[in-house]
Amino acid sequence: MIFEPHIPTALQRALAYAGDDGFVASLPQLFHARANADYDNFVWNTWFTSNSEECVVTTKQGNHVVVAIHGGGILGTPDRFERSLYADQDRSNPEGLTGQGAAKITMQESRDVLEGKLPDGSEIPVYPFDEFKRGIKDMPWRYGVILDYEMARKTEKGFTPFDVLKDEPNFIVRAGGVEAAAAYLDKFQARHNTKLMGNFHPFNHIDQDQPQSRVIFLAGNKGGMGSEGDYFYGYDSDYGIGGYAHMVGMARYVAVAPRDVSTSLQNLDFEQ
Amino acid sequence: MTDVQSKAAIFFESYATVAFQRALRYAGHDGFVASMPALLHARVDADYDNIIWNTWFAANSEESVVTTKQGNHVVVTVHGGGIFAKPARFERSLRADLSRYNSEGITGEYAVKISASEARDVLEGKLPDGTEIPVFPFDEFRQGITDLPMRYGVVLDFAIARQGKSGYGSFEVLKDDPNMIVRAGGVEPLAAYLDKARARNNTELTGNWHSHNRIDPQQPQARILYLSGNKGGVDSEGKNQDLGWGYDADDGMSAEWPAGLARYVAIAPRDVSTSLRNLDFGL
Repeated sequence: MIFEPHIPTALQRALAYAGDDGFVASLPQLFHARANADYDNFVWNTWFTSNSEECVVTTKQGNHVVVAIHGGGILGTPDRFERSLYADQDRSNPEGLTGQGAAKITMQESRDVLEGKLPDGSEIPVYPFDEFKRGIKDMPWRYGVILDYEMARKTEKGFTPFDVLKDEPNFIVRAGGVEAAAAYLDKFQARHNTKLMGNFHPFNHIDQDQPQSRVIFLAGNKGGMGSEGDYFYGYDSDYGIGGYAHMVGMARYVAVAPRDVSTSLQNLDFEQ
Repeated sequence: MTDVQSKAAIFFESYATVAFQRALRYAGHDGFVASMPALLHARVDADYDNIIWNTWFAANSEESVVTTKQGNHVVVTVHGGGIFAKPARFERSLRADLSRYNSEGITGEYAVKISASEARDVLEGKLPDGTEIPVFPFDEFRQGITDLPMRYGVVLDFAIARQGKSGYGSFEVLKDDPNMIVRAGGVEPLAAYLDKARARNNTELTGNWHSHNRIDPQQPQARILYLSGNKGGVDSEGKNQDLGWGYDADDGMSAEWPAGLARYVAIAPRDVSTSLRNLDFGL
């Protein structure tokens, strides 16, 4: 787990830990870990920044869509984050942050991401939502999903019944599929036998003509208190999934990498 | 032959602690990082096309909400470096466990929690770095302080602060707003600044924001003051913001938490005769 009060620094450290053979956990990977962990594990008891992002872009045909990328997208490198943060924040600048705190992306980046081409040179599969919803066989851990903007916008926003969330397009994409969404929601619901969980998005109050992207935050606090919206304040709020965060401030990533435990000093006895 | 002059520089970073650290380093022992009154003073003396009018700044000023020994809630504003006079103090809060039950960290409304002893001490002008500063009651401060130092505090009753305008108000009303008088460094500096701000685009309103109506005053807490600005002072009356403009909004003065982007101004004496700034490097 890598925490820093500055997103690019946290991402840099997480990527360094992951190295070539590991990965920085996406939202589906964080969901998977929670679904398979005890509730007293740390993964359930604090908030995380996921290596997943939602880009709002316009297709060649002029349609607005949301492209969700799991496993590292346009904002998958610290340098790209910094480019937005150090840009002139003048509203007329095509770089920088939007008024609502998303990172502006270029026309080229937005065209490319629709085709699965990322700024770091990677190419990833990108699935239309309808196909994704039916299930993808042997899905890689890094991929994209395209969802119609109107559909994303109409998604229930706020604290929502679990059964509704199971069928929400936006939530299905965020979770990494229908089954993954159901598994996570069932486990979340059983924690305190609750009826609601938070799922937020910014799509009702942004300028969809401005290409933009945000990484997605997963909420959590010790014990999962107030997860139905009865405590909705600051970083200690278990608001479910955000999606509207400003791309500045704190970040907590999880990086996963193979390590040779036989050569680790972690369990050596240093006491004299 | 030496030619020592006071030189100001901007320190922008995507992480406030680093920006503040760089500004303090530039200021050194003989300089300072600009407080809100210092920033406003510079604006009053500057042309509108100077960068000081055309972007936003973090001020070396802070507002703390604390409780007196008598149990009264007050706002203590410190200009020139207060509880958060050191970058390490920022870091202590930003890296704390953010559980609502932790006495350290950030409040749910994104203010920085301060300890009970920090709160007690600041009321007496005692700061964590060992400095002692004068602290003036608002009524005395409002009448004007002779030879006001660069670093000082003002105590304002929380109920009065809470009733102050939060949002866009007319220049004339804001000239008499207690929060704004304290933020600006006095009645006269505030009037001078507001007159100059109004004349820029012949506007009627400007912004002044506080969060005193939505916080728990029992929790000692502090925020850093920010001064907004954008190129040309566009939409400074808040009438045409539609979806909002984030860092580009010219929404006046506000108090925020010290995370994310920051732009400080530091001022220090420099020997311009040895500076390479104006050397000719052209081949």
